[in-house]
Amino acid sequence: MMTHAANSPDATKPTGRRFAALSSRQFLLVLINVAIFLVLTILRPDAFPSWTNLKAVLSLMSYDLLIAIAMTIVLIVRGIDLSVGSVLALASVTMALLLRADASVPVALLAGLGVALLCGLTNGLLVGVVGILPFLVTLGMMSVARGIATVLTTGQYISFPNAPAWFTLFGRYELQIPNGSGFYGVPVTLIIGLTLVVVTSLLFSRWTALRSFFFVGESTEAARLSGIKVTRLTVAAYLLAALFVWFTAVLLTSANKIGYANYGIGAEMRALAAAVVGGASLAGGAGNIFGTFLGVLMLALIGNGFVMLNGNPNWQQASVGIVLLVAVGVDALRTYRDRR
Amino acid sequence: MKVLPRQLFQNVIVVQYVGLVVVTLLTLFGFQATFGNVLTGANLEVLAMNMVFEGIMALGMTFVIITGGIDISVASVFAFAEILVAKLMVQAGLDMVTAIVITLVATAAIGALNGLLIVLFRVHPMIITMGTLLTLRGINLAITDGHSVSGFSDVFLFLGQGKILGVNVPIVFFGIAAIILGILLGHHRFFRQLYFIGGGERAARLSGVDVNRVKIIIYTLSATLAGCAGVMAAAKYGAAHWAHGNLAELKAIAAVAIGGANINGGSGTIGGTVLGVIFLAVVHNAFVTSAVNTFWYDVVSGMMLLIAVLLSRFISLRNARALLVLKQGKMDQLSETYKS
Amino acid sequence: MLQVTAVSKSFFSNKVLDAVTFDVRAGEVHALVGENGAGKSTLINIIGGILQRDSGTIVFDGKEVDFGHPLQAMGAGISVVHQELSLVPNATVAENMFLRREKRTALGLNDWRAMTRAAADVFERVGIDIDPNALVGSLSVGMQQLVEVAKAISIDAKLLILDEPTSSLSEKEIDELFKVINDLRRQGLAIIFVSHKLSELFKIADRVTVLRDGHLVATAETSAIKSEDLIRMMVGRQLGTLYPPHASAIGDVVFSCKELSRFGAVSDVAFDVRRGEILGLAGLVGAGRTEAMRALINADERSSGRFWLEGDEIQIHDPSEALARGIVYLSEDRKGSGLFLSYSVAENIGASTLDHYADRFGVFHFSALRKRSREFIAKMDIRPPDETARVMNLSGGNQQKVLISKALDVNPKLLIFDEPTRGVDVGAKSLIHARLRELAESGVGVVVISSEMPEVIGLSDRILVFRNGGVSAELMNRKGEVSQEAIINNAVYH
Repeated sequence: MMTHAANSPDATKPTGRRFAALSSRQFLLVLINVAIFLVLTILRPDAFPSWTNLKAVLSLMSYDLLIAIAMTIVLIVRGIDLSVGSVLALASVTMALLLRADASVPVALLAGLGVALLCGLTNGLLVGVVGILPFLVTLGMMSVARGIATVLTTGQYISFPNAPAWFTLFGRYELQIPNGSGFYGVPVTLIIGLTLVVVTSLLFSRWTALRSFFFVGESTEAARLSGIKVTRLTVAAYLLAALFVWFTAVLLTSANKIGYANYGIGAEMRALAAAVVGGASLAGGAGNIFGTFLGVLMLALIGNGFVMLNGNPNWQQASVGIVLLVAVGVDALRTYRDRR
Repeated sequence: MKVLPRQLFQNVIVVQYVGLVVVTLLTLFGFQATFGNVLTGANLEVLAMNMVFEGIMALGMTFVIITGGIDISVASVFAFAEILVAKLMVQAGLDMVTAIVITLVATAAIGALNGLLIVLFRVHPMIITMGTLLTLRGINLAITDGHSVSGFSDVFLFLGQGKILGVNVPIVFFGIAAIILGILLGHHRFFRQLYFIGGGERAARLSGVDVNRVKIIIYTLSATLAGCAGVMAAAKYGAAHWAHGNLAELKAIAAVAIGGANINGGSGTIGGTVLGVIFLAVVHNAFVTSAVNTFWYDVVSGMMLLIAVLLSRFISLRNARALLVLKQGKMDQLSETYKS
Repeated sequence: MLQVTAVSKSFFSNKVLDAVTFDVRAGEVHALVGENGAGKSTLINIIGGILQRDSGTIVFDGKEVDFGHPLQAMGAGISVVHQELSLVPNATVAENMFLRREKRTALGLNDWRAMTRAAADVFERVGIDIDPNALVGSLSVGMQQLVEVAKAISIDAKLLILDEPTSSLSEKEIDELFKVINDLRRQGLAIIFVSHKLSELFKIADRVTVLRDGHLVATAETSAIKSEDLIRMMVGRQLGTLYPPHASAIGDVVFSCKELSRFGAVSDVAFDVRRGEILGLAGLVGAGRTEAMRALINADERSSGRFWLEGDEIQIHDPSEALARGIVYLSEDRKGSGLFLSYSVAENIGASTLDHYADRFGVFHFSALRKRSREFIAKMDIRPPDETARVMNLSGGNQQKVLISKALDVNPKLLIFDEPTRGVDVGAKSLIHARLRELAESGVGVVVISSEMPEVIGLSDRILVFRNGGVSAELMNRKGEVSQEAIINNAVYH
């Protein structure tokens, strides 16, 4: 009985296993990540495992990670949010413009949060209350948010030289961890990303309010008749996603010291790919934050691999697509085998 | 229960078509009245040429959406076709016809692969075509290193820049393709099957529709149309570039949705899609000619998509209400009759 | 007409049909019965070319046949009308009927006029009055079913297979369908009729074949067999009494409702539910019973309604508020709006009561839910007895038991159960009945909607008959004394 649940390809759904138990999918993803790591280490023993390189990979990955968590949350309630990248840009631009106009940092941050939540709320209401397909709603929002960001900036970089130094340093801050001879600088974005993975992971498995998200995605009507507040949770999912997007915008704006309307182009695709690789499904009711993390890590390592092996870095994007196709192929194979 | 009035089910579409035509004309004449340079031959040509490639992709997208699927890989197929046909002629030195034939066969093969994977893996078409999109875009980028390819013969340039009876070749192509595909979709038994698949795949299968075969063919058709558009685009721009047609898939989907098709499948017409394309073209043009900040274009096309889906949602709610009124009337009549 | 000999079929290692032999004659209606999982669907799918047999022979119309595809079976003259309708709402009746067999003009395009004419011809032949140009979406479900039948015979079928054709039809529509079937029998068609409703078999079938666990039990003339015999053959054991005893004592009012209306579906329904009794809601499909109960919890927006629970007037704004007050509605559509199919038994049981398994910080304790689920598994005899099994892998009866467990975990004050035993095998059926009776005895108000008249009469202590969106009669039924005629009389207009 135990093995039956553990072997099921849908262990990303709450089938009744303890949180601590890794599903076979996540186990496989861990193995793949380790394998890529080893292969790259063997092929480029000097360059790849160096802390400088790993640090670059991991800190760049953090933004994608946060966006992918946002995507996973809406996928769980059978939604999709194509507007994550655009809202990221809009929030960034809003904050940067305010900072340039000498607004205080909290005001700018709150305004950015307000803008992101407003987008999330609009998405959530149109999907949850009006009943329009999430695909279309967020497609529209994707265009609108990016458009507004472009209009506001006329496509220019928005720098904010007068902003307090702590804000511009924050995104690039590194925690110094002694390693005997010197220090490992651990980027703060990475620490925040990993912390959020653990926290949201725990919340989704142990907090009833978030567990309900799964029921909404698995069968909306059954959830409604079971007394679950479907509309409220749907809106909440999009708001929660917007919150993560805003947070990404803060980190990115701080680290780059500019707001830019072209931030996050294509981010929705990478996020979707990572989430699906990690076990989420467009059919809703499935998704796993830790799986998503492994998916993001895998895409980041593969991307770095192209650079390391002196391949054309332009192949990196193609690799995301191929990984996605292979992942769903493997899934199809597992489901097929499972049925026998 | 006897037959309900047929128009109850059809007026969703009719209202949408009429509304679309009216809004399009209003925009056209409104801007003409304000700026006075809209309804000139030169401007109308610009207007049409700005949207014609998305329009050709929207034709294929209509078929895909009727079956309940989606093909977001078209934009990357479009750019791939541009690059391939250019490389074959400029770098491999093939003659034009051979190059075009090879290109179209290659794009058809990509479409067939899309269809095959969708049928084989049984995951949402969005995931598969997103995989293709990312893969192909990466390939486009990698094989050109981000540079454009140019140096075409005049004969080839005719395909994009030439005119037949005063009309640009791509527009002629779009018109002829729309008419042929429109007739086929309306009256040919193969294409009628799309509605059955979109209405309920299992049921269609039981009725003897070879769902898998139809799907593969439809995705092949969609990619081939994108390939045709790509070849003509290379000729129009005089160069092939990987970033051409970026986000064209969203415009194509928007055109189909604005044209009244149900994204869940089962409905949609070529006529509606053509109206949707014209509408988007007019709105785009309005922003260009009015010299309003063209950055607004994204905002407006996003809003248009949202308004279109809101409108069709509103109409279907109203129809549901009308049905209830009808039922209530019948109930009242029945209880009145038997009161005595 | 059709001779099936020793046909077997296995799915992986599971033998679902074991050397089944039976035959159907021309001009005969042959009923096929058996519990869920007995192999009926597999058998008709093999005959219809949807599945391929492992061994055995099928002789149809004098020739041995081996269909690899439904189209081949159709070509030979075998037509299957499946349980779920296969029509497309956005297309006309004629187009639906001639899907894959379109009449063409010289250009190869569809000849709509010829198809309309041909469809009208078929309708005339079977005596149905439907406009071939109507959109299928504008027809009632019953009419659509008749279109399905017309479509099936329009291929010059010699053998027509009807898989549970009456499951979503009203009595009147069933009569209409039976008239058509009788007509076709007279024209010499062989007809296989699969149904759960035994009363129908006796009305329409000439012979009946019983399957159990993939084996053939018996084939008999309908005239020479009784309903109890059939049930015994299906389950393989005699069921003592089919229904639990009626209420021992009836107490005060638990719940009452007045002026319950939903525009276009329900008008001015009022009723009380008392402790200890089971209230049955009878009526034809579409009379407004389900609609009334969904309006009660405001799952569909109601236009008016006042409610009292244990004497106090209460508001019910949405299903979650109803749940919070202990009012549970279990849907007739257990797969679509009852269960979370790919989740475990435990998750389903706890779906309405997630908060019960959380401590005061909102932290969820899965072990508590598992423990509770095991209690329900024992109490409801859910098989397999594994709280981590996924609900989609359970049989219909066991799924229904999970659904009840979910409701019981709420500690309901009022339980409204829509079609508690639809698509459920006989064993699970009597267990569900017994549990519902226990629940009523324990003081919970129980309302049961059932379209099976024997169930309404056997189970409930009081029956409300619905007609045209309202209550047309209230019948006391303390000893099961209400006759089916009494219900029918109030369910239809004379």
